[in-house]
Amino acid sequence: MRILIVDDSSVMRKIVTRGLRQAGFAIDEILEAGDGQQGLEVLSNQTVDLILSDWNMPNMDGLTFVREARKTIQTPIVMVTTEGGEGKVNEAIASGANGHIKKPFTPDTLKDTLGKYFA
Amino acid sequence: MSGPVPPEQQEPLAEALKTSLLDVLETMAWSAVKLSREEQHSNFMVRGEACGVMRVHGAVTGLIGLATSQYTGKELVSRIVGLSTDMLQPEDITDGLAELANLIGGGMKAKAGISGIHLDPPMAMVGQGILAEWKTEAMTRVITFEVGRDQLRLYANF
Repeated sequence: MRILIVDDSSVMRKIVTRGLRQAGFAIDEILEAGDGQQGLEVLSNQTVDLILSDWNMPNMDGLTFVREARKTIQTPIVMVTTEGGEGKVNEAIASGANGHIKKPFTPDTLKDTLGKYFA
Repeated sequence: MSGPVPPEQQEPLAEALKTSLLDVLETMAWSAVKLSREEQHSNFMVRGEACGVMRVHGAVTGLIGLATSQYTGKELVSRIVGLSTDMLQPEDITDGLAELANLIGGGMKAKAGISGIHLDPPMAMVGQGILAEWKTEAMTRVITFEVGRDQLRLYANF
């Protein structure tokens, strides 16, 4: 599995990476991007199996990133964010996101939400 | 609605903030945290060596802050990212403190049950003897927690 983590915080990218490894997922490679624009650049020349994206980011936010990505790829995209309200989650799903993980999360939360993508 | 928080919402907001901090530190930093004391201050003055602050607006107007020593700030960031403290770069510490503020603020938003609360991106400061003040009209609740042998202060200005 190749995973793309899109988050403007390098610390949060490390936290997600650590959580994925602690959840026991078989991961071949983790790619990182600091905002939605960089995420699209990564996707323009690399193939990934799963995308985890923050919501609030400079340059291009997570929602715009999802909408733009959906014009060319159908890779599962899961939002990882503090934006946990029902309205926000519905907006993300309507824009093409496949799911949502609320921060803070535990490796078990990642396992429960993302397990189906690793099956 | 915007502006000063009605008195009946202040207590639930402060409780949501406290619970959020405990959740975040216990879930992501595996840190045993204990509530020590609570004080009311007439200004929003953050004092420490490792500080994070974020502005709250929308349905609630105010500021959230946290402050601790550089040692504990580094230790908390080290635990949440899973790297030893000597592997952390200075920018990891500021980024980590900002993320901690973000996580705690986000948790407060979710737990408070008040719709329309917005959080600005957080800012973080690391250095010796930081003293930073924001002029506000509201009182600030300063909630002190014990983290190991150290202290972490949470500032709630609504």
